[in-house]
Amino acid sequence: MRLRIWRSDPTTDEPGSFGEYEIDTFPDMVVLDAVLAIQRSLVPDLAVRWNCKAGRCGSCSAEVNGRPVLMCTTPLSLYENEEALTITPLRTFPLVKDIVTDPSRAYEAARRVPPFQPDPNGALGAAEVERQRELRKCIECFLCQDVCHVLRDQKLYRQFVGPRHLLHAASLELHPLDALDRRKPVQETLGLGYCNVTRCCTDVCPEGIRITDDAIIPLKERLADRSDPLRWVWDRLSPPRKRRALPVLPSDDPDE
Amino acid sequence: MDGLSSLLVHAHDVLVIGAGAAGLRAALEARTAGLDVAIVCKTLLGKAHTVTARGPLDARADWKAHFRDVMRAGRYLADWRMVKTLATEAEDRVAELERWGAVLDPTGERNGLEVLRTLQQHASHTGIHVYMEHTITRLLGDRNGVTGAFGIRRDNGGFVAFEAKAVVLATGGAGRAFEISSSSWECTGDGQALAYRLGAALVDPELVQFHPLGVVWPPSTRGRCVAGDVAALRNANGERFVADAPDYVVARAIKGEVDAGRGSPHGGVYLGEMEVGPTAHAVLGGIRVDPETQESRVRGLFAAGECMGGLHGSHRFGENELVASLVFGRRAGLHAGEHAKKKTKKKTAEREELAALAREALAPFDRDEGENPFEVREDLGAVMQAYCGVVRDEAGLHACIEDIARLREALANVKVTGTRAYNAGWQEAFDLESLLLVAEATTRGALARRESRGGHARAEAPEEDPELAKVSWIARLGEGGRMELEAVPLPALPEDIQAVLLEEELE
Ligand SMILES: Cc1cc2nc3c(=O)[nH]c(=O)nc-3n(C[C@H](O)[C@H](O)[C@H](O)COP(=O)(O)OP(=O)(O)OC[C@H]3O[C@@H](n4cnc5c(N)ncnc54)[C@H](O)[C@@H]3O)c2cc1C
Ligand code: SF4
Ligand code: SF4
Ligand code: FES
Repeated sequence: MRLRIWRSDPTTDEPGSFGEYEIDTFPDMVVLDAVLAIQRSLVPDLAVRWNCKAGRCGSCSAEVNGRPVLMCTTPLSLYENEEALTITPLRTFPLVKDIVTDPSRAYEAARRVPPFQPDPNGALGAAEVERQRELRKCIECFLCQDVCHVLRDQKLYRQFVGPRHLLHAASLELHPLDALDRRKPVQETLGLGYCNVTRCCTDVCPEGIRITDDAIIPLKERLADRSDPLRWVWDRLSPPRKRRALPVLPSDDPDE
Repeated sequence: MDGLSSLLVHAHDVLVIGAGAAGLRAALEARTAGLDVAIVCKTLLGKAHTVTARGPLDARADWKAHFRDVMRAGRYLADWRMVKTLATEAEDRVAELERWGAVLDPTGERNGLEVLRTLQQHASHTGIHVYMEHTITRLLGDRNGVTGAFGIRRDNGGFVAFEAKAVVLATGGAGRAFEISSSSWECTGDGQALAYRLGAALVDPELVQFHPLGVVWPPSTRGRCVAGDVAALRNANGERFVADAPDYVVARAIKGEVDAGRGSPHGGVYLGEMEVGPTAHAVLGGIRVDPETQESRVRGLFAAGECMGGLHGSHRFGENELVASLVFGRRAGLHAGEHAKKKTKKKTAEREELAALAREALAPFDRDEGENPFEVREDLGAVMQAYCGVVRDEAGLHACIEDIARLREALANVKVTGTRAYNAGWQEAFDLESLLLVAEATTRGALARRESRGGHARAEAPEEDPELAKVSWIARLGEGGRMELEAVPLPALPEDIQAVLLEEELE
């Protein structure tokens, strides 16, 4: 099979270009196998980030034929009918070398989300555990950050933290054992309002997290609650406010 | 170029090497004590091997039952003091994690991720400095005390030095020494090698856990552990050959089938369509530490997590490593913090020493001809797989030591091309250095332990030898750079602890 891999080393003056490689394949080969085979035998200094090779750590994100994927869970057989496989780095992050980018920005965004604050009176019901599990499945591959147009095209990195971190904020905000009200920071420092619910993030999530429907929209609903002054006063006066304000997700089983 | 033109020097009170469960927990503890703490990790934050762990976290109100289970599983090669610490502190560590927001799964599908993410998120608001994609290649100081560390940052290949009053090693396992392994690439035994070179001892390095159900075919997922019913395993004749039993019994049974010519085409047995066989899963031996303080025999150098030895003995249950990383990570951070508080001044790194380390690290770029580092590691994997796997024998172990010496020469002649920026071949050369050291210690330990006990099996001595239940082997750097092996007695069990072990048998 023929692979084209983006090669660029910003520590030199050479402009970037595609390297073209021909490799032998085996039946269950994944894209990462192919890239590592090239690295081993042809280009030992090829930069590629990976770690678990099991779809669990979210390190091996790249764009394959224009689509952001985890290279270690993407079989080559998907591309059987295509002329070549083109591998490029994620576009939303600055380049380090070849197909490796620098995700520092995402780690900075994570620090903008107000941390968990334990609520001694909270209780975690079975349905809420299920919801938390979904929201906490994230492997931080940042594929969703890569496709979100607010970051990718509009480049509003300072105003908008992106889907991964809204998901994180939602997992805390909807956590029954958390005491903090994050509605203000979610709007002001995380930039929830910039999301116009296109669902592109959800489409690429390798964990199948319904980022838009189960995290972003519930956050938006909570903010809407707050902008209603009567509802707001009522919320303040009636503990436990946080749980009462929870929107019901389809995955919740009322009988549990 | 002396290579130091790009040197960055960072100074912190406590330097934690490794950002898995153990390293993060250690850093948090030292930071809570008010110290200036830094973490360095080879991969990105949140990607450490811990992330792949499944399994529930063993934490019980009845510490005695937990204690008994761990001691028995390890066939009494564990240091009972460490096991007692684990059993009595596990519950607190788990409760604390839940107070930090963790939603653990009693069935354990994703607990590694949950533990790691909770610690990571908790740490990210505490002002701990994190240096990601930095590889530490040497500790600074000498056998009397550690003063910092030297390494390489992956992004541009520049050198870094850390000055610190105390160092915690939490670098994880060394599974990558084996061809078939469930470990991620970062598990190359760096902590063990770093500690050893400075003068610390490795305890029972021969003890390696092989998970019986690793994929051997199809090739892409080779090494990965799969869940499955052991009793459903079949050999090439379609026969079942083993009942549910401890992992190592199953692993040996599989090897027995393969050796008798009843294996699958790629050297395993069948689990449904898949071919499976033993995969190197965890190292159980490791850096020898004081059971109270986690300090190695080098002052100021602490260890926790999978790179630490002494806790498990010759087998462990999957439920214990994550929780052990928390228990001993916290302790390492606590004592490293106390040590750092007592020291008034960090020692400044000697420029000449750093320049020498830099020259040594750059040598592979200067060679016109040389070995491909990836091939050398594959070679090592095959050697360890052949001679140091689930059943070991004397002749094979001697051959293994010879091969390791040969591979060490190959490493000395390894060639790296390209620039220093994010250079995989260069990284592989550093990893190999650690792997070869751990491989040698494993092999020498295996030669010394002439018995079969738990996960360690010797073909010529298929039974447990009661005398050998009383000793550990420690490997350390001897005169002239040679590895020395020494038998040290395991601590005797006091009467009250013996009573705990007997309790259940009376029931
Ligand atoms: C498939 C699988 C399933 C498992 N399931 C379970 C389970 O169910 N229950 C359980 O308890 N355990 C399980 N384990 C074991 C458990 O995951 C590990 O033993 C444990 O996570 C080790 O944690 P750690 O903190 O010691 O190291 P790791 O998580 O391995 O982290 C090591 C850290 O050190 C860094 N590092 C290494 N070398 C260097 C260097 N030279 N310079 C800088 N940084 C360095 C790495 O980048 C990383 O951050 C499993 C393991 C595997 C492979
Ligand atoms: S739904 Fe929102 S966060 Fe997701 S891609 Fe669209 S704009 Fe971005
Ligand atoms: S939400 Fe999904 S796509 Fe986004 S970082 Fe997490 S796992 Fe990746
Ligand atoms: S390498 Fe971990 S997700 Fe691909």
